[in-house]
Amino acid sequence: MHLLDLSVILGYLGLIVLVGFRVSRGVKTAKDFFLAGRSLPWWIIGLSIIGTNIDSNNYVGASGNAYATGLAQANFEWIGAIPAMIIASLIFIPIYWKAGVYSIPEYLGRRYGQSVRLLVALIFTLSGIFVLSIAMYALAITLETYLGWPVVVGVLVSGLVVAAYSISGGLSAVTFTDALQVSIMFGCAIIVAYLGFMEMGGISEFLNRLETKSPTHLNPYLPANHPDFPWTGVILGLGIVLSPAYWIGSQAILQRTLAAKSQWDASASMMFAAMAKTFVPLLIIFPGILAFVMEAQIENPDMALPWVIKNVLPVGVSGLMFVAIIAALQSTIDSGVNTTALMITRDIRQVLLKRSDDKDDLKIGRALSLCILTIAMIAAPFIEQLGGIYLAVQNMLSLFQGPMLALLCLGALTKFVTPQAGLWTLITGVLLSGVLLFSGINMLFVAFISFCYALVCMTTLSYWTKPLPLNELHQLTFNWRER
Amino acid sequence: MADLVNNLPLQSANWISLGLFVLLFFFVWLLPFSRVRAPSGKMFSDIRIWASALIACQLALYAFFS
Repeated sequence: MHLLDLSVILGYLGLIVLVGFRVSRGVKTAKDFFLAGRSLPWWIIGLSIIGTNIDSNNYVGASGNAYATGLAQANFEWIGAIPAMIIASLIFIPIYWKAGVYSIPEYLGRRYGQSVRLLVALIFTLSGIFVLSIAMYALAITLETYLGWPVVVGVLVSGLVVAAYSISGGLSAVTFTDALQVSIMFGCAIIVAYLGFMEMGGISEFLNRLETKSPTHLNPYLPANHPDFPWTGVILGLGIVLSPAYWIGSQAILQRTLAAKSQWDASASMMFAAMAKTFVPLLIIFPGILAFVMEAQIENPDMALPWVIKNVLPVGVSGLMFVAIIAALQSTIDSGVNTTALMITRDIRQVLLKRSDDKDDLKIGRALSLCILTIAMIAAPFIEQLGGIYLAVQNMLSLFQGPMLALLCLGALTKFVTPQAGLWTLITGVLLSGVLLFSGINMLFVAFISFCYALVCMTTLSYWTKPLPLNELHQLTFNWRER
Repeated sequence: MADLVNNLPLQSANWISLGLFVLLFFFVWLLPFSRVRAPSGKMFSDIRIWASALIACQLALYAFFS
């Protein structure tokens, strides 16, 4: 690696720690630690949402998929995100914010009872720790590829950098560093796009070459018989179920909006994130398509991004692009640490021990952040051996998405669904998803079928069970008549 | 039913996407909005306008690539 590239990388790491430390002053309560004292403006939260959303799979995997299949990969950023983000911004975020909750499990607990809160928090926590280990491993592998550092050293360095600001500064430090990281990512994307188009002789020449080489690479959808991403599955499963389940139910994403200084800032932050999301394909899809048009000689599609960094970008900029990849991973890790610590501190500990104290929560939150990061660091080097378990956890999370979305939609938009109906729908819906998945049905269709089942099941069960009192429901549901 | 859907031309996916975004546009303007306006009350603080611009952008993208 060139000295200039190395200086850019070390400069970035120093800057992140500095910004993190600066923002961490003034964390005195659990609310400061987990919700930044409810003081964040919309644009910081919006950038942080994008930082949390983009991970290593996006950067390396999406570029690789774009190299192989083309623009269809952009659906995950467009129809697979934008409609759900708009609905989250206008309907769900105002409800969560008005309810004054710290987390999505806490909202579900108030709407459906503490058993649902505990169950959802346990599933989120378990999958969160695995996602953290994976992100830590991916970061270490990236450092090994570009800097030659052994995986253990990479894990140690990245863990210490994240610990330096996220344990003391909490969500406030996490969101500010995320915002900085996303700005770097978009800066790099613009440079890559500019240099790529220049290399090809302009945008129209680029599109002409792409159309000549493979016209299907410009189609946003793949045929209905495609094994992984048939267009029917993308619209029904991704667009109608998985994407809304993520954007209105992901604790890592929504925790930021709950930290907004006003309800308007909370809603505006998600809308701003959706605007940024529209341009994310420039960041993660374009490098793959560029490598395809430039006829990169690579062994597998996942090498598309490294190929672009090596062959298109000049010295210094390639270091900056590498920084963007590190930034994407770091923002996933720091957010995951804070989110998981919150759910264990409040949603699991408080429900099981039935007590709550703000000063205790702050101490426990910090201690848990350190523990979670340490567990992720210890597990990271063994991730390859744990591949089967990781897949099982990922599958478990996908089983959960359809019923979870039904619980959130009916719980927030109607007053008639009952706590008991919610609990039994969640349990039976997850079981149904498991049966469908093991019978070989595509995951996208499983999500759609389990969502439809959960809607019917919850509506039916609610007729025979007792709803919450109206005065409690008023704070937890959307009021359609309000003007 | 599944066969019917599977036999639809690929182009119809783009048209369905465009249709969904148009429906979303109307839905956005039907919602009650007193709680998502900024205290300043300025025109661009109305998030429905942000949503509309975003939907227009998506419509342009799917129309361009159809």
